[in-house]
Amino acid sequence: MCSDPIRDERVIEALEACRPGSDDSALPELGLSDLLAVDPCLRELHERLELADFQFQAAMSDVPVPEGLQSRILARLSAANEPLATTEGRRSRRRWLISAGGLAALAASLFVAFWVGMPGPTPHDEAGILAVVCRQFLQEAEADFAQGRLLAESQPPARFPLSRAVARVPDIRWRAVRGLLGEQVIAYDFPAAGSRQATLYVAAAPSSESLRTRPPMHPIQSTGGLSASVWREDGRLYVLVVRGDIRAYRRLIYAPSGPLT
Amino acid sequence: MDIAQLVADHHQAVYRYAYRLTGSVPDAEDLTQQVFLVASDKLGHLRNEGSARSWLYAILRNHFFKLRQKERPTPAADLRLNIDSIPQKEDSVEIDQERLQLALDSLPAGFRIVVVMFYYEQLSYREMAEALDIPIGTVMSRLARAKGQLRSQLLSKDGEEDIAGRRAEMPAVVHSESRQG
Repeated sequence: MCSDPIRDERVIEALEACRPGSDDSALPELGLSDLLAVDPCLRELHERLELADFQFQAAMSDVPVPEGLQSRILARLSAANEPLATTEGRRSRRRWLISAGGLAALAASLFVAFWVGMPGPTPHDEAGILAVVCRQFLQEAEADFAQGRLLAESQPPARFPLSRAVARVPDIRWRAVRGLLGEQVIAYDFPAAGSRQATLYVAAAPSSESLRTRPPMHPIQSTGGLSASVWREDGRLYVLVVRGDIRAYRRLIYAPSGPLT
Repeated sequence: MDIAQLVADHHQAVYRYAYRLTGSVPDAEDLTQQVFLVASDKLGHLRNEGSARSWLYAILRNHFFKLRQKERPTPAADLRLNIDSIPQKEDSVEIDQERLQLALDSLPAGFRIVVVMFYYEQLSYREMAEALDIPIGTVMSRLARAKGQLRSQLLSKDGEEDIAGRRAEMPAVVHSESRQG
C-alpha cells in the first residue's frame, strides 16, 4: 500500500513532463528511471498518471468544427486579396492587410467621411460595414436615442430581433433607421446613466456569408473611443457599436459556447 | 503547396487548437482565419510539406500570445502541484468537454499554452521550451501545475462544485445552444 505522498517537487514535475505512451521517463535528465526501478509506489503513481494523461489527450482533440469553416477561410483569403488588386502585387497586399488591419478600418472610416450623404454600394467586408455603421453611430444625436420606443412596451418587427449573444439590459429602446447599409435597419439603443452606451444595428439580411457567426469577445474594431463588431446570426446582419473599450464591449456580450446559426 | 490545399488539409486541426486556447467559437474561428492569412503571405517559407501543421501551429501560438499580451502574468506559485487528484487505476475517468474547456479557460495563458501543447500537440517539454523560447524548468513547472489544476477541477469534488458555480454564473444563452460538429 502506497500511502506516503511524494513531496519532492522535482520528481513530481518530472513525472508530469512524461508524455503518455512515450519513453520520456527513461530520459537521463529527468532522473526518473532509477527511482522508478526501486520505488513501486512511484511506479504505480506514474502508471496512474499515464492513464489519466491518455484520457486528457483524447479529450483535448474532441472539438466540433463549425460547418462551413473551410469556405469561410477561403472567402476571407480571397477578400484579403481583392481590395488592392489594381495597385500592388499580391504578396505586398496580403502583408499590408495582415499587419495593418486596424489601420484599414480607420482608413475605411476616413474614406466614408468624404462621402457623407452620397449613396454608395453596400460594403460586404467587416471593415467596410463597421466603417459605415460607426459613422452612423457618431452622426446620430442623443435625440435619436430618446425618440426610440421602449422595448418593454413595444416590440419591433419580428424580422429584426435582438441578438441572442447580446445582454438584455433594462430600458433598451428601438427605432428604425433608413438607408443604412442599403436597406431598412432596426437600431436597439442600450442606455447607461441616461445616455446611449451602445447601439445594436440589425439588418434583415447579411451582406456576406463570410462574416463570422458570433460576436467575438474582442471587438473587431476599437478606434475613436468606440468598440464594434459585426456578425451574422439566423440570416441577419448584426453590428454592435459600444462607447468605450473592450470592458464596456464585453459587458454587453455573452461568452459564447457555439455558433448561433 | 498552395494555400487552398493547406486550408483543406489543416483547417480542422488548427481550429481545434485555437478553440482549446481561446475557449470561444468566434475567437477560435477568427484566430484560425488569421493563421491562414499569415500562412498565405509566408507560404514561401514552408520548405517541407511534412512540417506544415507544426508551422501553422507556431503561427497560431504567436497570434494567440499577441492577443493575450495585455494579460497580467500569473506567477507559478499561484497554482499548486497536485498529484492527489490523479485517479486510481480502477476509477473510470470521463472528461466532460464543457468542463474541460472551462478548466482550461481558468488557466493563465502561459500555463494554458503548455498544457495544450502537451496534450494536443504532444510535444516534449524540450520542444515546448524551444518553441516558446522559455527555460525548460519554467515549462516543467507550468506544465505540472497546469495539469494538476485541470485534474483537480475535473476529477475532484471541489473542482466539480467550482465549475458548477461558474456555469451558473454564465448567461442562459450559453447553455441553450448546441455545438455543431
